[in-house]
Amino acid sequence: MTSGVLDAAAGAPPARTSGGPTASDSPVVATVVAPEAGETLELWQRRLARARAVLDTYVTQAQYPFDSRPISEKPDLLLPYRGVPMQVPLRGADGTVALAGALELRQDRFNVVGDEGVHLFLSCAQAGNGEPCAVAMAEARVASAEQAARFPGVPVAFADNGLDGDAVASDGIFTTHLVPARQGFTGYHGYIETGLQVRLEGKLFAASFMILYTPVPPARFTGKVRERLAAGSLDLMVELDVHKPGHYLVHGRVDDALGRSFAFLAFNDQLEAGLREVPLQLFGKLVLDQNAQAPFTLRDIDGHLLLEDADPDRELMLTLAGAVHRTAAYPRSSFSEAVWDSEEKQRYVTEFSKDVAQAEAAVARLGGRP
Amino acid sequence: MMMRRLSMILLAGVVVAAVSSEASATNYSLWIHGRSPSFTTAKGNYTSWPYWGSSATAGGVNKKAVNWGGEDATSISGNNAYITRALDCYCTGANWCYIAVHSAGDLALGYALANSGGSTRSVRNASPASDGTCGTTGATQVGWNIKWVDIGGGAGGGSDLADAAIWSSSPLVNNLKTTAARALYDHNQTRSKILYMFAAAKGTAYSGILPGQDDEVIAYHSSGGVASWGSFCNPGDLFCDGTLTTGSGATSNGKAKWTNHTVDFRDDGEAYNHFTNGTWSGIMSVVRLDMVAYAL
Repeated sequence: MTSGVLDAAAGAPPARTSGGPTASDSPVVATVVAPEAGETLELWQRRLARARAVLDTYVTQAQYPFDSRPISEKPDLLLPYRGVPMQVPLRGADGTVALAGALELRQDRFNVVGDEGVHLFLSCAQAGNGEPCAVAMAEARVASAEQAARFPGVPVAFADNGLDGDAVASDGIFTTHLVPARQGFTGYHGYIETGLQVRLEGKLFAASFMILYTPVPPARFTGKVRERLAAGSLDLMVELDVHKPGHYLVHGRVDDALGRSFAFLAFNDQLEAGLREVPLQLFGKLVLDQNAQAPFTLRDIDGHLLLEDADPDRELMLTLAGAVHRTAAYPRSSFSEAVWDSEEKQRYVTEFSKDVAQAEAAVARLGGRP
Repeated sequence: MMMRRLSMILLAGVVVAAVSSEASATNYSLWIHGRSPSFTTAKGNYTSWPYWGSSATAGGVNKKAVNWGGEDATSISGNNAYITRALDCYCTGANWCYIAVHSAGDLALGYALANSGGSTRSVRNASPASDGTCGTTGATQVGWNIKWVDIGGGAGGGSDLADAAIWSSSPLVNNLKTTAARALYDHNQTRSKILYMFAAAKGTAYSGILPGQDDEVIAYHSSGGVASWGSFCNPGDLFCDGTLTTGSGATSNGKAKWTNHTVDFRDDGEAYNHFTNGTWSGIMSVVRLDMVAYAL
């Protein structure tokens, strides 16, 4: 950390000519940075620390391509995104907390496609008199004002009866199974919000769930995956039947033979219509560094068509949940130790190295030890 | 023959060096604003600063205002072309950028980085037309040249005020709902650029809605870059799920941050709120000091 607390406590750092007001549009051209009057050794030491952190982070992470990563870098994407469990305070209409406790909301998916449904779960955690809560009203409605007239809100029934996705009857967890295609949203594309009011100790409290709905997927995964070793890495070629050409993003997760999740693979590029193969590259050095043992299992593949500059900005594909493909049993010797390289990487390392050298020189000129 | 080929290679090197020196390297400081419901900022105008404050105030080397609108009627994706235009203008070729973002600007930049940060870009000449598009040089490159990013009151994890219907439903407000904001893009995909998070804690008015510490609009779960929703606080507060740690490590209760999100400033003194007020105020006053100190 570069200690913003200290920055703020110390007041404004000395102003630099190069960082000052830009009354004209003539840019200040970066040259070798020399310490200016008022600039302290301490400030340049902090600049050097940041420059080194920026370079070190880049060099360490750029051992692998940006689309073939340790899954530890994706703490919220170990599985396809399903929404975040939330606790909503028990507040009155004026926003102030009216009762101790919270409404607890959970959903089993965020992205919903075609005939899919989503389970929404609600429970109450209160520190009051222990009186059970009840869902007084719930309604699913489109989040688009322009579409609201065409797709009016529909009542939704939450129940705690052990049926239709409600795991255990009378456990205090109320559940509904929202299926947009069967509940009036056929043809709608976008966010659907389920707002509800919960009665507790004679008062009403509000909360809402959100999902993203695509009525017709733009492409589908056929389930076929072809694999090929190339240059010390393993390419997993995932087949798609593309109905709508365009900019697609596809993500997959990989477990090793011991069941350890270790890699997150991504594709982000244009696809033409028809049967297409998307390469998800399992980078060789990543396999070796993670000490991952083949055969590998490619699992939980999700994807969408990105609609650039539009709202909603995507059409979702049906996710391939669970294990999709098991690879051959490759020995470690199949994979390369070589680090990833590219023009982009060289450009970054060159620039960040230059920044470190400039800061080191400035520290040295001010009598410090770089 | 061999000598001639070597000479040609050397000559080519001299030509490249000459071109490089003519295309002088320039660093820019881009300022990407947040939601702006009271007025739509001048889209594509890089010299308009009413969202922030006086244009004469220092904000890092060669500062540029990335005005993308910020109006409720248009979503993050709907206005994202103004972000990518600015990045194309000032962060390609020999030019490099430092970036400061506020609030929903976190979503706007993160969205661009995750979806387009590895795409092939036209190298542009930093001379913008009125719509914010700059002229091309004929060259291309992969991604943008970004050194690091400062994020004040970042809305990458959404605002609970959007969930609680404090703001009227709209395309931008829908993006700002916590579940939707976290689903909008892969927040970990920064292509190894560090995002320095500045999290403020002077909030009072909506403390019943915003979990844990907040700046009146954004709670620590978002401004601290935590990859899961929860109530996170300053050290010593017993009524939260955990403490927001400084640096890139997990919160005290083990909740990971998004990759390359590092908390550079945690408002232990509860001294800063969310609002710039057109006077470079609130948490962005701290970000501004950081830009002045480090964006050279």
